[in-house]
Amino acid sequence: MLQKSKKNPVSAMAMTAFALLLALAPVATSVYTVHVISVAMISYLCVLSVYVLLGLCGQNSFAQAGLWGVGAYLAGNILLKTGGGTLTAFVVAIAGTALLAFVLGFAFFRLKQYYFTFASIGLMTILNGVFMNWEPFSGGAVGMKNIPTFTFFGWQATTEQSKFYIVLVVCIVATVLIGLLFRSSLGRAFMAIRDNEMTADSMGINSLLTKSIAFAISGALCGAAGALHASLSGYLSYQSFTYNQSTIYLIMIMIGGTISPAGALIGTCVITILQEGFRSLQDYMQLIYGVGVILLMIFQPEGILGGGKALYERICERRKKAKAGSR
Amino acid sequence: MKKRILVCLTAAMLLAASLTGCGGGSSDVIKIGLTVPLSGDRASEGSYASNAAAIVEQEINDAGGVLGKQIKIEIQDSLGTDVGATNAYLKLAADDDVVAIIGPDNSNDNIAIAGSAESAQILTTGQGSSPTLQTTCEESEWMFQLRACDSTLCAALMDYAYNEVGAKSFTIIHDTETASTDQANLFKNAIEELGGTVDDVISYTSGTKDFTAQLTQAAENDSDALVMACLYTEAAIIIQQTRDMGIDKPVFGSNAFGDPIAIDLAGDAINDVYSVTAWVPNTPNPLGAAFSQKYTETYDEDCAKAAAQVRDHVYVICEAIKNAGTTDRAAVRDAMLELTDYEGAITTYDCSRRGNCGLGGLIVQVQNQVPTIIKEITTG
Amino acid sequence: MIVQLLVSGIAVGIVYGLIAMGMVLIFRAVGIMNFAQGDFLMFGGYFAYTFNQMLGLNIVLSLILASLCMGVIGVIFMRTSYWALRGAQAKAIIVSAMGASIVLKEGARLIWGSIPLSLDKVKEGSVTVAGATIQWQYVAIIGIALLLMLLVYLLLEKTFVGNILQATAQDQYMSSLVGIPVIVSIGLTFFLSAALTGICGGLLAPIFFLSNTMGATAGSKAFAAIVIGGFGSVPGAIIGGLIVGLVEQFGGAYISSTYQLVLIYVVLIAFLMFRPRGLFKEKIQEKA
Repeated sequence: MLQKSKKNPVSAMAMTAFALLLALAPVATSVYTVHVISVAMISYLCVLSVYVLLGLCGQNSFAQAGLWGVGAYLAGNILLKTGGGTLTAFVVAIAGTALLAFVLGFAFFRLKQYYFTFASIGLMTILNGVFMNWEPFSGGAVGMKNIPTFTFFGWQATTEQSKFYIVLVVCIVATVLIGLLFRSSLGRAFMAIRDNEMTADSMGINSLLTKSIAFAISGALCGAAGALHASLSGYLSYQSFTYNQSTIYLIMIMIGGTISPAGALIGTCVITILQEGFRSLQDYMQLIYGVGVILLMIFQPEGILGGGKALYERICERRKKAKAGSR
Repeated sequence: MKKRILVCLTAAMLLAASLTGCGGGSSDVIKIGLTVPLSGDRASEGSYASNAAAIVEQEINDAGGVLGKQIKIEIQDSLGTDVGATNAYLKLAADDDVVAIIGPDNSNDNIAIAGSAESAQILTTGQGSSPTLQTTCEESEWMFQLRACDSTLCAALMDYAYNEVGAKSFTIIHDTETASTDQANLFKNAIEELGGTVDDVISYTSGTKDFTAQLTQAAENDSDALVMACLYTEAAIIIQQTRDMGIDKPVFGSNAFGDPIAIDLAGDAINDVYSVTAWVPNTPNPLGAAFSQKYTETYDEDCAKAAAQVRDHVYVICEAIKNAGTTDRAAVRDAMLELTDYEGAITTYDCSRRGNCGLGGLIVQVQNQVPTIIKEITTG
Repeated sequence: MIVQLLVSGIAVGIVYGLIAMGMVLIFRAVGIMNFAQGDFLMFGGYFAYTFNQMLGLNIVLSLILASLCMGVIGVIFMRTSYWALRGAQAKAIIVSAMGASIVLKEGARLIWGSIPLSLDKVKEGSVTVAGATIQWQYVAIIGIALLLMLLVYLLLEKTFVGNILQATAQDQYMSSLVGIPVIVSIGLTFFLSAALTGICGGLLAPIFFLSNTMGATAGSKAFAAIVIGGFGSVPGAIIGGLIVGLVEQFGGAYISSTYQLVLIYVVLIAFLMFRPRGLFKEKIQEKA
């Protein structure tokens, strides 16, 4: 498990191609499609944060939507109340959320596995309660409206298309950074903890600190997603940042596969397409979505990416055998 | 093999998704969009709305349609979330045949789509009733709050409580959900303006089902009356628990307390409760009574506010299209602004106000499990 | 006032305890937290509604029939969302349970509609004790819950079937070696768990009403109960449930009613921080 995947260049190339394809999307499609893709990309950032925690570090958190909310409200506060620009809001949202996650990580990661998951469920509910009721910070149940759109040095992103490109750029940067993390010694420390925490400890990895850093990184991703969400939608309501939303992120990463960031991408695409593409089924849409999740887990418990990798390996093996046979 | 099929399937789905954005072009039908939650917590609202939409669509088409064209109501699931509502809204707005869109019966969702309404430049009617939505609509070029705002209704109920029932001190209990929080604030302000006292404001988190903690606190205040702002399920639960605990003070409630669902669930406990609402199924309004009867005949259930509201929204929009004489989105919006005296099933509408367009409300008291109108409110 | 809070705290808490017990039974048997347990509650309530309101049966009979139906649903759930994936990682099973949760929620909506429903109480009316008015339904809930707990205790500890269930929970491989059919044993556990939770749905429905989303809140409080009580311990789950119920009522009355739900989770996190093993140590060793 620890060894680096040989397929990495392939998946990196595939993701680059996908990003290029996405970049062309606004030219060919309607405002609706552009908006849906923007929203999906924001989800992708959150799913990526689950990837860092679950895929790299083996920790299952249900608080991601809550951290997303923290980022969104932080950005909203900066933009509305202090008159700071988009960049300030971004920095504050990312740093603030990461810091919160880091501190909480120190407290929570004294707990192992399931216990951490429970603590994260608790955190999620607490955060949602705070968003709903703490009026000075979140606008209470009414929420926060009229949040200005992205503005950089006097230029304002007014159309869906221009907002789309900003979201896309952030996503690409985040993906590249996570890709670098995957190859770094820190990334390897994460994976060591995932595979066997006790061994990792005995190798001199400070697992508490390392896990907290993983949580902080995932917090930073959620914070970025939150800042994007605040400016993209212009309105924040506690109804978005729920436990249910967190479970959707988990479903997304599991369906995509936890072995590489590409899994986050695939999962986000599949679920978004399931939810938006089958709108015409109306009443039955959610039911089919649920059945789809079960079926995917039964037939692809490692996610689509995991299944694809297994298939690829089988083909390689067959080729080897064929070569050996012909010799 | 199985896996390969799955991969192919995924690829096919990706392709399908990229194609869904295309299409369009004008045709012989006039489409009106409707975004309501068909799934999730508030799915019942969606079922009322889609039932009503089917009736109205047929009614209008049987009468010859609008501008000689048939109308079609396109429904998209808002999932009960603001993000879902925006997606559903943009999906509708992307269709060039859609002339106007009716938003969900939730103020937050409507505020969330307000920005998109501006950029999509399409006539949008919000079903929410919060004062926040009123301001949003008044600031907006394209949004209308086609309903009486809670600010008028809540003040009227408190006025009735203070002057005619004679209650001078109140304890307010409310859900922390948006509409109820807004209503609770409006109740509070109204009471203070009238010179009454608010002994306490107690809130509970949405989804709470046992109100013993809240009600024991409320009982200790010994106010003249209780004021409650809740959603209908919680309204039924809380009123049952109030009466079961032996608290027999007069209760003044938000619109949910006059809702047929709440009355059905709560049984005898809800008798004598006053509430303020825009709609009751046994309305004296002739148009409303006709619709209510038709709805009950077709679906064998009481016609709830969510249904009547969709009916009125569709009719108002059709009237605006008729007056405009075209389906051009901007022209329809302009025609809408000139509708100052349109009779609907719920009330009369003055759309030139943008926000708070519904002109009337009802103070009702539940008697023998029937919401009985005791006072009609009209605002000018 | 205290009596009032105490009774409703215990009644609601004991229901959380029963749901938590259902989860713990499954957890001990297969080492997986069931994220769809709350939806068993909802579905059981709807079954009780069907027998009681649609077929006009007596409420007690309806509850029994509903719990049997739920047992069958539990077995179907086990076959589709657990057994088919038993070789996979725990997180895959958790996600498939979440899928099942969506299917149950949406299935209930399509079958019974989205308008909240009500059904008969076990006993109407209320009684006044020490200045507090207590609904008979609350008393009935406490009574029935205690009875169910006793039955489960007897089943697990005193019968042959119970021994089989416990043995499978201890070590699936070993028990298959000594001739226990593992799938039957696990199926029975899911049957029992779902049936117990289903009854709770029928008991809560007359006072809290049925809606297809009622499971989420109850389920999450049952989670809290499990953690507070001690992971994997049956008595712990019940005590945990009672603590959650009481914290909810007294915290709501004396600390903050707005943050009632938040308070429960603050207690949960406090327990995790300072007593991560909960009140009771688990009987069966933590699974790898």
